[in-house]
Amino acid sequence: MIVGSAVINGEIAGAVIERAAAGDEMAFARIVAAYHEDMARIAYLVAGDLEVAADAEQAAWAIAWRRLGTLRDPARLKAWLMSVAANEARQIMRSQRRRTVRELAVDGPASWPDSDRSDLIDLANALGDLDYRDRILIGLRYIAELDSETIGRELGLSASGVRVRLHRLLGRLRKELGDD
Amino acid sequence: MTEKTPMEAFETRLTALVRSYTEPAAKPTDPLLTARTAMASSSRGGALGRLWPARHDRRVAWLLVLAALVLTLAALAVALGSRPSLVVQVPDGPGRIVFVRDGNLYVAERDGSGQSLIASGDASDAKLGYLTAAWSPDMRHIAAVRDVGGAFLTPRVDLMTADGALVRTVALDPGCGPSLSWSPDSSEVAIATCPADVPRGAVEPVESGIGLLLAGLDASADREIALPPEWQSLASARREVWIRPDLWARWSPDGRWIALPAIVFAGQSFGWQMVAVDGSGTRRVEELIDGVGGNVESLDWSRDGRRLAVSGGIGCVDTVCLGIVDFERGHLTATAMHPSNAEPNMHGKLFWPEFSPDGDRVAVLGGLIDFTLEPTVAETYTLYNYDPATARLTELTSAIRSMILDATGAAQPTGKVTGELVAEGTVTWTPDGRGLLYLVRDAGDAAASWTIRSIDAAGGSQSSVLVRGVQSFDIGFSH
Repeated sequence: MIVGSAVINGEIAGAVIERAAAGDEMAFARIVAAYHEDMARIAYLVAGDLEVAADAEQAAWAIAWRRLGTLRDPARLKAWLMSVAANEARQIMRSQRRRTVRELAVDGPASWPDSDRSDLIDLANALGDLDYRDRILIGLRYIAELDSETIGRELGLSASGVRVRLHRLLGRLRKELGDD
Repeated sequence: MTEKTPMEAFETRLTALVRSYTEPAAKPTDPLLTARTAMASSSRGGALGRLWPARHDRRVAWLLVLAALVLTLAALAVALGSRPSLVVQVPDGPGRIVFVRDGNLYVAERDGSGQSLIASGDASDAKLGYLTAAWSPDMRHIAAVRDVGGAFLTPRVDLMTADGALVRTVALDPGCGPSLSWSPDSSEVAIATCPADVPRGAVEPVESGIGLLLAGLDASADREIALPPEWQSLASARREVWIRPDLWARWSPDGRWIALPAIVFAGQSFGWQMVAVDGSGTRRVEELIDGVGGNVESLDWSRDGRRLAVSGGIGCVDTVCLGIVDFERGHLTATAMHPSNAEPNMHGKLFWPEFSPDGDRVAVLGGLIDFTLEPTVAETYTLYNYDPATARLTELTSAIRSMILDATGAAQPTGKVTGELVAEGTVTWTPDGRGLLYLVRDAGDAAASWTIRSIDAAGGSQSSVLVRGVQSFDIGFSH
């Protein structure tokens, strides 16, 4: 079944959120359609495990369903959902005592394009060495494409703090990926 | 068209790589099925639904095992007739209040009963008498600031026993009423001074330096900690600046640091500083918190010394919010903003945090300025109880202060106040963590005396009057 996304200028319409919060199944499905992909990507980026990422995303939707009514600012929906997915991935990893994303196959998943395979393996190794908070930061910036202020609100950092941390992170990744 | 910098080019490459890397996770899904699964797996408001989300059996199982273990240990402790040992030493005594009235020093029980005069400050037109007093942590001694007269406000610190017998006096240069903070082991008191010529009754503050003296019950142990000469403060004769003894100097529970605010003129603004008690140096508080900008405007230590509650621009933008900091790791672990801050024409802030004795909650003042009816402006002051675990702010009491914008756009109080206007920096927890004590101005917006009031920290009840006509107070936590 195809469900319309109701995304306007990158934000889901406030009326859809209100209906979903009131229990409208179709409205909630529209939100899922709009943000499922990025949530799954971020959960995978944090966990490095497809199964964990899928579990985290589903758990995140369950949380979203419970707490949607407490979301005061509809413009925060995307950032909030991404943070919930990232945190759920982290929680599941922690509960399973998996500390890093090093469980990838040496040559990576078959779906990776061959042209980028070498870079992607380097990226996987670099991510594996990062703190989970930094992986969340990368997900919120480069997958969800959130600005520093929005990321800061979700992570409890100032916008300048986010920028400083990202700058350091990029410098580190450039070295790891042989870009400097 | 400008060429990309190497960093911008790398960001573009990284964005593409991250998307390729996460491509295996981006499988198409049936949104309706996902939505229905989520809705079915977590019934709203149901405790079981919250405790047992789909696919989390292992986590919940561990939680249940842990809970069972805690219950078993607690039951065992009760059976043995002892309390379970806690990491944080929560005081179990009722606490006693020391307060200043008409320049004299009194003590009373925690409920305000049994008031008794323990030291006369000989207040007159020429001297203000006692200004503030602070219990030592072991409640055996009281340190009290007293204005002893002279051309300018001239404080000294009396160290006395709990019943007012003078042990020794620490003479100080003329200046503001100093801030007092006892060392955790009750052996010495930190006296933060602002030496300057301050006329008694002066309304405007005077620029001053900052001094930090550690005075023991025995004068032989006194020592001064050298502070950077560029640190400045504002010495004031206004009673609001000494309505609480440790308003601007707070000794850390581990004994290593004294936190105090300073204006650093070398291109920096007012901020809280950490001064190493061993004299090894100073650090701005913000430097001890990993990766956040902003400015700390007020702070409090948790009783175990592991956390800081900070108010300022830490973890928030363009507002003053509350942050909880894991001090050992330097991480910000929680932030809270004023609940109405996001509303149009509203400017909200949270300030003067105060940890509960067990460290689980933080009392914090909220200020909300409503600009919707300019030039009349209403400022709502609210006392909240914040629970970092649930991110919930419980409103305890509030007041609305009416103000009007002048020609320069500055808000000037009209003197009209409705409700309880909690005095800034005076909120203190009762030793059992069930109540809060604070000062409310006795009458009008300009009275020079306050009432100590008490309120249930759980909310939903009216406050009660403990002691009227006081100028400052402190509650001791007996162990």
